[in-house]
Order: sequence, then structure tokens, then C-alpha cells
Amino acid sequence: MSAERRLQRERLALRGALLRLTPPLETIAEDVLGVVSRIDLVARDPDGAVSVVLVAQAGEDLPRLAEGLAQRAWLAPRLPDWNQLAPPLALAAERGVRLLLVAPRFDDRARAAAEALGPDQVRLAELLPRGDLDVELRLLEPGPAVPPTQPPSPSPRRETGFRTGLRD
Amino acid sequence: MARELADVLHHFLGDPLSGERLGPASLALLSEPEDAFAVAVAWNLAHELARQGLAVAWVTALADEELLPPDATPGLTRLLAPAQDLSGLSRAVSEASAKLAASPAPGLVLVRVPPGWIAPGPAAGRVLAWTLQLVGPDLEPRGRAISIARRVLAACATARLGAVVHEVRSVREAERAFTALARECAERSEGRLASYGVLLDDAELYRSLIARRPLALLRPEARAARAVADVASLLRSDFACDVG
Repeated sequence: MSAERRLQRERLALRGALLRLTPPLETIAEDVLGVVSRIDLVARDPDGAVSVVLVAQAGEDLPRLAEGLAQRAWLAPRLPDWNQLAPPLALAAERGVRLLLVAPRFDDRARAAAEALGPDQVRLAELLPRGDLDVELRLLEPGPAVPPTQPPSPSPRRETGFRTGLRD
Repeated sequence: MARELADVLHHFLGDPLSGERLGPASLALLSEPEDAFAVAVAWNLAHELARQGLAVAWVTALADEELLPPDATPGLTRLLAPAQDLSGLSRAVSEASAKLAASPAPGLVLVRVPPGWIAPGPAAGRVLAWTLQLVGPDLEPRGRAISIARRVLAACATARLGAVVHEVRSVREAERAFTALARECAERSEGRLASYGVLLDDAELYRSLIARRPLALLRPEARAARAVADVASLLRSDFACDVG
């Protein structure tokens, strides 16, 4: 498979995974030049709420989280302009911009930061490969933030609460 | 230069645990031999875990499982073991673990264990270290699950107990059922129970069995397929936490 073909397939895979989220996220822009660097994807949910989607490699989630917050701040005031340019998008500019950070795994500090900001500001999603060129996203549910002085969290198998990435 | 999505995606496609080398572990799905739903779940879970990057060995000791096609998913291997008891299963699990040890991907042995085979002894420590039950929401299946949990802990005091809720119509209903089950389990001092999510639309899993195709391939858009993937994700996540 050519590099170009593979690139197209990988982008399609992530866009497809976004569409399978609940609620689904429809990609409206790719590779957007934001503040200093580029935004991987910009997406909207069925209500018009906008998300900046950044993909981080393993170990890069914390700096990418900071970068994503900067891109949120950059994009939010531009949404009214985007609505004028493309009224059919019906972007809910008044709801601001959420960051969806996608990574194969997350540092406890990134989780704690996301928890502190709240799910309306930042959501984290684990990227799971499905076969050769397909991917799946698993949204991490909000939970108590991990204080910096707390010892490593116990094994999730010891949790007694109900867990699922699904929603009704 | 602009950062391209493809520049980062390909680094972890096919490398879900970032190159960590994890030792093979085993997961025992506790279910009656004639439980076709459990066969469907075990088969679909094995495929899903393999799709998520694990090297999975499915030890099948029960005749009905031998009818299923073995090669629908790369990364999934089958080991047919004519075991008659937990000791036989333990030998098969060890053999499967040895095979997985050569794999570059982290390995997990999945085995279905009839509750009637649960017995104390060295095999219990090998096979029952991590167990999973499929539990309905009503009082009777919850009571049965607690009874089985008690027997597991009597055979292997350090066993981890996990449950997946099914026969429910919604996530909310599943949460209520699991909360009740976990509370009852704790009240009867049967250890702490870990949640591994919910299976929805059980009929879809039966259909995959009849069609002899994993749900992820047969109907990837179905709610049931997403639920199986979610259960597999939770298992994989705990597997990585414990062994990594």
C-alpha cells in the first residue's frame, strides 16, 4: 500500500471512529493551522458543539493536552466567522470548544488535569487498534482526580463500581 | 513542518501497548457446558481482544466450541484440549501460555470453565486467578453468581472476580444490576467484584454464532458489537495494568 493511500486510510479510520462515538462527532476540518501548530481534526456533534481533536503518541499526552487547550482558545472566537462562511454547519459557537485528546494511554497527570477542567472542556479517549488499519475510540469516563501526592492507583480490577464506555 | 495525523497514527496501529512486553495471563469464563450464549461471548471476546492487539489463545475443551471456525481473526489461535477437569484445563492453559510466550504481542489465554469443575488444588491457582461471569439482572442469576464466586474463592483465595451484565435493555439497567450484585457480594464477604461492562442485544451474539462470523465482522455497526468491544477494552486495560 502506498504511503498516500495509507495516510488516507488512517485518517478515514479516525474519522470513522469519531462517528461511532456517542454522540457521534462529524469531522468538519482536517489539518487546520491554529496557534503556532496544526489541529489534527475539528469536529461537531449533532447539536453543533465543536471539538478540537488532537492525537498524541504514547507519552506525549500531557504536552498535547496543553497544546489542545491553546487551540481551543484560538478556535472559539473564530466560530462565528466559520458560521458566516458555512451556515449549514450550524456550529454552536455559544457553547465554546471542547478538546478531545486521543492517545493510546494517558498519564495520571493528564487524567487529573482533564478531570479538573471537566468534561465540558476536555475529554480523553483511548485509541484502540482494530485490525490493521481500523481504530476504535474509548472515551474515559470522568472520575475523581488523582492528587499529585497520592500513590499509584490500585488495579482497576479491585474497583467495585460499574464500568462501561457505553451510553444509553 | 505541519504535524500530519498519519505521522502519529501509524506508530501505534498494531502496537497498542507501546512495545511493552507482557507475560501471558489467563482469563476463565465461568459458564455451564451447554451455555450457547457463553460460547458466543467467549468466541466474540477472543476475536475482539485479538483485534485490539493482544495475542489470544482460546483453549476449547468443550465440544460445541470445536464447531466454530478457527481462523477468522489474525492473532487468535485455538487449542483444542480434551480436558475432563480443571487439572486437564490447567495443562492446556500452560501449553497455550508457552505458545503465546513466543509472540511479540502481549498474550492472554481465554478458557471457558464449567462451574462444576471448580475444585481446590494447584490447577485452581493457574486457571482461576482471573475469572469472569456473565450475570443477568434478576435476583436468581445474581444469587447463582455469588454462589459460584464463593466456590472460586474457596478453590483459589486470591482469585480476581469479574462480572459482565447481560439480559438488560439499557446501560442504566446494567448499572443498577451490577451495583446490586457488587453490594450483595460484599455483604456476603465473597470478595470484591470488578465490573467488565455490559452486553446488549444478546440475540445478536447468538446470530453471530449461527452465522459462524464474529459480530465485529458480521454486524460491526450493531450496539451488541460495540458492547463486546467495550468489554474487551476493559479486560485489556486491566490486563495491561496488572501485568505491565
